[in-house]
Amino acid sequence: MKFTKIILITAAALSAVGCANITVPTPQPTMANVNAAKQLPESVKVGGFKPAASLSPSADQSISVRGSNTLSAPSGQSFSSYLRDVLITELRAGNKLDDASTISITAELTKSELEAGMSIGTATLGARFVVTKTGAVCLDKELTATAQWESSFMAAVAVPAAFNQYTALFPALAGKLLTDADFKQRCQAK
Amino acid sequence: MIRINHRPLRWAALSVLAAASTLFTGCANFYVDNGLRAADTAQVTKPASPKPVQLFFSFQTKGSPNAQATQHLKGQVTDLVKQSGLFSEIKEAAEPDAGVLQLTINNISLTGDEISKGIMTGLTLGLAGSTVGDGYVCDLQYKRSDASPKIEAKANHAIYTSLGASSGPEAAATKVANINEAVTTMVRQAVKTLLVKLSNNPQFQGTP
Repeated sequence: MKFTKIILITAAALSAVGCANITVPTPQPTMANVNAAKQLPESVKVGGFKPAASLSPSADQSISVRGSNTLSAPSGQSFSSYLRDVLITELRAGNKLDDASTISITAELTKSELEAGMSIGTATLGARFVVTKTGAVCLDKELTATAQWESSFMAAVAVPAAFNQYTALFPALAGKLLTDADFKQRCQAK
Repeated sequence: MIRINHRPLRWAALSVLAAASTLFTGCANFYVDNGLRAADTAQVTKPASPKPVQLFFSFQTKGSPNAQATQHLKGQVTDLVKQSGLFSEIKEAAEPDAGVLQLTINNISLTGDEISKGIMTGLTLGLAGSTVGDGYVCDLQYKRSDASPKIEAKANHAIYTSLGASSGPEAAATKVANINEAVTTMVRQAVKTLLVKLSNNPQFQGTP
């Protein structure tokens, strides 16, 4: 009986050690988004990003799958500010970031969802972008980036895959704005 | 504190824990495929007048961006590109005189059943050894300018992991000390292979 206890305790300890608690990495420019930024006629500035009223504050700080496996926003930040950093990274690499620009982008994070199912994983990230040009709103639009992938029964496989897929939605959502037809027509036309 | 007074049972418990501990901490061996080993001594053909470049690097897992791995490896990839001497400078932002270099390493499964093999090795405490392979599909794309033709190069690499009582990979491979050395060796050989291919491309050498 005691032998069984030792084995169970060992197994529990090994399981506990396996829980992941990581932070989203520093944003890196992506070629597709930088190319999209380069094609914008005008440079832009990036204003404040915050969570929407419908999004709980905790959902803007971290997201968990399979129990206590948690992906967190960078220290002292939130996922909404991380989205801002991602957009700034892409615009800067495309040489289209200008704090003196008359075009200003602000946003509210509206959706942040992640599921690592036994066979299928899904993730959704949404934001309402409000863009002003010389003070007048030229775009007020919610954009969403989604992902679906083959998940796994094994948490050791499913959790890293889920975190990768969720993190990849941030540049994907930034790319949705940079390539949005309404954004380009209403806010970028000279 | 749990005490087991029955001596044979206590030894059995300690043996199991020791075996489990060994299995979880030090029983994996790592090998880097020898296919791109020549890259370590290969020389790039430096252009007469190197141009600046904007570098993009992406590590992918089964075709999906892996931001954690990208961040971990970007410094090494950037250093390799700098050391190659193919470019005068690596630019952070797009500039009219800078080309664009995209390097992608996509991690794919070579054997497809790593999980079941690993579980079997674990359940038998290493007696049923197994070797699994990770493939790396490495791509380079370079454009001197928007109007220039795209230059492409490809290379494939692999890392093998042996668990338990396994004799190692069937493919010709070199054993390395740990997974970090395996990954940095794979990245170094793959990126250098791609840069040598780029430098030997007449379009690269001939583009003003």
